[in-house]
Amino acid sequence: MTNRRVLAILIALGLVFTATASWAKGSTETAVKTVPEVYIWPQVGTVTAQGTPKAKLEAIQKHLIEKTGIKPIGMPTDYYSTENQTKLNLILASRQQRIDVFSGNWPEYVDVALPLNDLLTKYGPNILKAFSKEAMLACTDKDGKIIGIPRLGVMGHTQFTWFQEDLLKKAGIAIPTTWAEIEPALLAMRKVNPNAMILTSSTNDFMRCWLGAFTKTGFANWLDANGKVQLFVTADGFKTFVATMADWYRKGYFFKETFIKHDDTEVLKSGNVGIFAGWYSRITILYSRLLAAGGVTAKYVMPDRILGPNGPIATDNVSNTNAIMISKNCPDPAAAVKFLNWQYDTDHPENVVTANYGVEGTDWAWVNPKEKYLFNQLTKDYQGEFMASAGLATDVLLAPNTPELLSHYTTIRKYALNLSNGILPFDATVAYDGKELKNRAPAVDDINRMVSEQVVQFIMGARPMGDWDAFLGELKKAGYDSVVEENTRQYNLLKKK
Amino acid sequence: MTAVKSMGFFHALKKYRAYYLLALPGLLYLLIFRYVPMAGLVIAFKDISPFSGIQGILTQPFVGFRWFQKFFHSYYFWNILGNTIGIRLQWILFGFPVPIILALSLNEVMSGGYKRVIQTVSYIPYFFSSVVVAGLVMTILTTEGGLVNNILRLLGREPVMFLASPKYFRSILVVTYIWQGAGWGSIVYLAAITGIDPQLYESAGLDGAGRFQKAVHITVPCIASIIVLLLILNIGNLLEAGFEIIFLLYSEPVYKVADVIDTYVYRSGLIGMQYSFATAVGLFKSIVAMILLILADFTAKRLDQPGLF
Repeated sequence: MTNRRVLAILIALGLVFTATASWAKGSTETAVKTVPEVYIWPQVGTVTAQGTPKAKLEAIQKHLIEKTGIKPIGMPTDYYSTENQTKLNLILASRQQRIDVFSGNWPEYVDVALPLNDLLTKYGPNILKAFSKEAMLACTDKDGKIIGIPRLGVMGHTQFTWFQEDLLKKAGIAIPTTWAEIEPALLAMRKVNPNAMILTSSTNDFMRCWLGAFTKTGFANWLDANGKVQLFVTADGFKTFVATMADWYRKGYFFKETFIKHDDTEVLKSGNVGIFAGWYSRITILYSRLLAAGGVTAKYVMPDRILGPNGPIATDNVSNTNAIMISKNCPDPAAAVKFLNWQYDTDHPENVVTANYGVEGTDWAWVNPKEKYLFNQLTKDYQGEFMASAGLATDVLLAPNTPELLSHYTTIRKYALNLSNGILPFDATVAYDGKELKNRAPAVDDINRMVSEQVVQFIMGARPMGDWDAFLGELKKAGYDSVVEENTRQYNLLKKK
Repeated sequence: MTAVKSMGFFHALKKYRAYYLLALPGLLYLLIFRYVPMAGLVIAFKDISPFSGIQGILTQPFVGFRWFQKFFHSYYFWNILGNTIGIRLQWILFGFPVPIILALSLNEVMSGGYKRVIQTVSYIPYFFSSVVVAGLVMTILTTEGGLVNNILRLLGREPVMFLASPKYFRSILVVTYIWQGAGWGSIVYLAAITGIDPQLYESAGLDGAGRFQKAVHITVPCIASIIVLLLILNIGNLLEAGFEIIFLLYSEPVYKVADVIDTYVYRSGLIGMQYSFATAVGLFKSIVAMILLILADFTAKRLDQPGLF
């Protein structure tokens, strides 16, 4: 009996203790729960599935709570994984996991993204100030609802023509600033290094760099005399562009494998790339890392702009539908907007640096506190899970003072919003609905494949230029006109706003 | 009669309950992850928004055969269908016999240690990720310092852009598949060979048969049923040309010989989140696979070989 009584008392005490502990924990949780929470899907490339070490993450989270009154919660996943977007879509569709802030192509997410008009007016003055009217219009649907905060918008910095400085100096020529100077520059470089060649990161990238030298509208849609939105492939001058590039390829100017799968970094390492026409971060980040590591010594330079017969030869990059959105299932969208608004404060650039790099004084420090632009990164273990405002508007506010990234950020700051260095597409502010395009003009995917495939075939000489008219006929047969009709319909519908 | 059958069934269930319990997890897995999701095939006939969830499957509009029509009416339909079947047939012709030959060869190796080393080395490529394999292939075949082109240069030949050549691309794919899968594929045949009665070999030896004759007249006939079974399954997968390696290696110059159903669906369906379209194409592939499987099984039985069913 005594033993049973003792056992009963011990069990009872245990139950009481457990209940008390739970209640206390609950009370603590209740106290914490009064701080609004914002769940952020990774917005920056530094985030990996392992995430920031827990202690560090909690320290930065605590700091951000003190600064903003909001608790951000990161969701570690490999940002650069090909599965990243698929995973995001599955989670948004299944609603099994909370996501408040995410980014993507907003027309694809209208069913899950919250319209932001009222929220931005009330809680997002910094956000509205950070973007032009055109940029916000591009993230607005046909009913006037703002679906996302522009992440990229129209960019003037993504495709440049870079020249190997050492070869230019040894050849005794200045950096080319006109289209007519490019071929002679390469030939002069080849006198110094017979293997000097042109490299591009992709067919679309190099067309964005150079097509403006041959067509008035560059690598973009054009409006014909009947008001129809035509694709770049039928613009006046495009055939001449392809023929010229085919001639250059035949002469051996290009890296032979430039139009097939290749590793840009390995080719750049060879030291034989005299001219690079492609995505800027191949030079500003990838090549800068090689330079910093001492693997290469050659440097690349670029002119502010290169002019052709029609003006700039580059085309501004319109990625106007890429946006940061807030989920319809977010329980506290006001908190999400407030958190974003804090990061977009251009008068306090330390806010976005804190969100991206950690605590000022511990993880980073201004090089010149009066200038507040360049900063030194003091620690590297925080991956940036709480950075919700990634994109052009905040990239121009800061620059890490490292050999690998300084070139990248200063390029963005100098050129991103300077759209006069490239041709601005006439429909830059029109956010075409890709899904609607595929539904109404199912041939669009076939047309895209045909254009990219045949342009490369012509350039590489697999198909003779004499077949050009036959190619245009194939485009028609594949449904080119239906794509034009739908593009025109959307342009007329959306341009009115 | 029914009562007797019912009693027989339940009697069997009770008598062999341990075996049924053993099979239960596998059956549940099949039921939950293979049969229940079949209800989702209905999205192939609807216009589904990816974020409408389970409710969307019931409430989204019915569009009939629209996605199938989009697929069949595509300008490149015959091209991608031809590429898919062509690559798969090429693999069956050249790749299917390789694991069999490897298994027969390994069976003849006397040294146990050497045999194990060869087996392990041949299995390893199976565990490489497709990205690693594609990277290896690009490194070996590139014109800038690649092994194959360096050998060609030494022989006084011009370098060849293999990955840009429609003439070579499919062969590169098939060789890559064979390299990756031959070792792993030989496991089934090796397991079947170990089940052959050794007395057959002894009797043949007494009759004067050499090692090659034993392999041809004893080993191969004894594993013929496994070979036919796996061939039937491969024919059933005629529309599966693989996705990852092709996607990682192909580019515009070789689209006309390398663009297959899966890469087309990836570009046209998955990138734009058109899951209904992707499901419709998947359903088409499954129906074709089922028809081919039944035909191949029927043919095998007509040739007095054991079939699948």
